[in-house]
Amino acid sequence: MNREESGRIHALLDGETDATDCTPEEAAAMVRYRESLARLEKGRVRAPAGLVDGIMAGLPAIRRPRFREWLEDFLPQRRQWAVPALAGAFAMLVALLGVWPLLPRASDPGMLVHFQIHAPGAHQVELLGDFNNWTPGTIQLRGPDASGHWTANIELPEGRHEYQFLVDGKTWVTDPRASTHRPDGFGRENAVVEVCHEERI
Amino acid sequence: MNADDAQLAERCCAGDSDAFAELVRRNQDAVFNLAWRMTRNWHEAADITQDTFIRAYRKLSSYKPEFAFKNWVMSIGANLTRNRFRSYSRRQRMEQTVAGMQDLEPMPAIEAHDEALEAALGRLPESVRMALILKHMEGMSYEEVARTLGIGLSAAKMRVARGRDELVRLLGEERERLK
Repeated sequence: MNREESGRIHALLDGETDATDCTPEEAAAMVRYRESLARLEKGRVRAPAGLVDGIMAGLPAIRRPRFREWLEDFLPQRRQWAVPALAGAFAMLVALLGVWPLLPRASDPGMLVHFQIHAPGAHQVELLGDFNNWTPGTIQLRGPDASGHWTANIELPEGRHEYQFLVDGKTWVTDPRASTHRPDGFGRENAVVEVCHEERI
Repeated sequence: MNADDAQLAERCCAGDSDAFAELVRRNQDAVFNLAWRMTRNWHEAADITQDTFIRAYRKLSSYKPEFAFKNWVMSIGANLTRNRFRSYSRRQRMEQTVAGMQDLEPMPAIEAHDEALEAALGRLPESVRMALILKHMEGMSYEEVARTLGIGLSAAKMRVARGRDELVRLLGEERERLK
């Protein structure tokens, strides 16, 4: 089917073209398309039972106030304030931009996380996780020390991260020190680390 | 009273957690189906669904009631799925390099499991598969597909058309093979 014929079939499927004047070939193609799409529509899966409870249990306990509501409470109801207030805000902005280079830099939002594994006989230990997109060769642990431990300190952004160690480039090892593990889909378990800065649950 | 999603979101913003549970119940299948179709991993899909709703809860104040809640939450789910899908695919390739080919995690039995359909969907490119799922499994309009995926209307139409063409071709090949 060429591009023009294909375009006409899609227009027919979307109801953009009248189906009464289609050719027998187009009518046959329409049947094939409709059958395939019906199979697709039937293939929708449902979420597993109990997922709602899991989601509700994982929600943060404290919600931040809606910014719009906060703004409405904060601003005066009458509009005469607008011009002087905006002029003042503009002056503040100009002043801030002037001193901006002199201000100390805000600290990085990442948090340093210490990783450690006991592997006395290993020649090389790597850390792979969603934070380095499971890319080998990016994070090597240092070691072994006298007690056979390999370590690394890695800065991670806020959130939940899954990881495993790869020993000598061939053996996956989960972190036994992690408080949470979950199946990785490949028959093993990922260790889970939660990095939180604020607002706690 | 059978409240609509926008009313439930409003009640949730006022601190009603039961309202959010109802929003989850109504929309979890759509998010889960998209995540499962993309990752083909039951645990990963459940995890993405959970993260999607937790993120939606945190960002609920930015939800605009003039748009369907389902589309809004699906756009969060689509972004998360896309990121996890890429990470998961990379991990899969890594696994194959390290330990040889392994099967994906088995899923629980699903009603009306269609092997040929699974295989055909699995061969579609990520962006095309997502658009096709939103259009034909979730019944979205092209405008909704475009907004959910953050793409233009013509790109949404093109992806859906390409997905349909490929799906029909692959299912046709399968039919011929079984003859």
